Amino acid sequence: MRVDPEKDRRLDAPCDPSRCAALDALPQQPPFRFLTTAQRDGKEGDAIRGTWVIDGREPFFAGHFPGDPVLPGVLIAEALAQLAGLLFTDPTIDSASAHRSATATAPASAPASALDCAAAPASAHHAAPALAAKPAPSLLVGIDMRYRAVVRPPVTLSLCSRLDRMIGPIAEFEVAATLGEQRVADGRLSLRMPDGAAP
Amino acid sequence: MLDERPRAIAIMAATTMLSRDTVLETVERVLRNDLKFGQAPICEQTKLVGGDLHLDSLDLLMVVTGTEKALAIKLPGRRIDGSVMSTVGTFVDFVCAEMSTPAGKR
Repeated sequence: MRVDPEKDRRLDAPCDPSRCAALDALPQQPPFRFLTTAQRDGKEGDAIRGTWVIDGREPFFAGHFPGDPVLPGVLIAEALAQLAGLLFTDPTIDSASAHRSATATAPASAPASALDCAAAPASAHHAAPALAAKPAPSLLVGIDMRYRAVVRPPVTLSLCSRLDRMIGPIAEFEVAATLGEQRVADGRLSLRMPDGAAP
Repeated sequence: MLDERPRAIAIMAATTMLSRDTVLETVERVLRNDLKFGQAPICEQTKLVGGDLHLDSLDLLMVVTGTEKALAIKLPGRRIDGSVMSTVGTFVDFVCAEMSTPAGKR
């Protein structure tokens, strides 16, 4: 059989917030970072899962749609692409500065173990990007998505991106977004990785 | 890939022996239709990388995924390297070899 049901099930497993990568390693920063937590997964380190906490105050809801907020499907794809890009970012890189940065924006009551991956508070969504140099971004070059349910705030989306194959600098991922037990989107994304990047 | 119907199709494909000619025709069709090569001369010796078609990495991915969709199969991504994607013929050989290999031995 050519489809691995175990890999399929893994796409829906929840993110463990106690095992998170430092999101400050991402090239994307607020207000265009659509991840709250992320952690590597998979026996061969080929998958990464995460969450995106959406409280309804994000600026795009003002227009999509006025008085009837619906999460744009393209942003679900973007969140999954950002998550996929993290698979190629060594979470230990610049972990000290990432921790300091997170400490500066996390609520004072946040537990220390959650600082590296905690949701930026709503007030930090528009904070200025960190000045530290970011790794070269991976660029989205292909999208093949299916959207299976309307997503309205407030919600916490569970996300998973699994590396399926690489051809040259192009990495193709199987991706899925879920709300509880419900799959809301899935498909495949292709990213062009920066030179020398490896999962 | 993520619900029961494609899985059922994959099972059917895995148990159906496709001829090499069928695979070759499929790859040619993907090149002509999906990658817009139209009536360009394409044969087994046609080079995918450099030379004849001069496909880039994203084009090669489209050849792989287009062939997978057309044949309702899933190819093992980690084994697709430059030698597999050298010519139309080498890719067809790879697809045929994978389709004749039991899933557990891939």
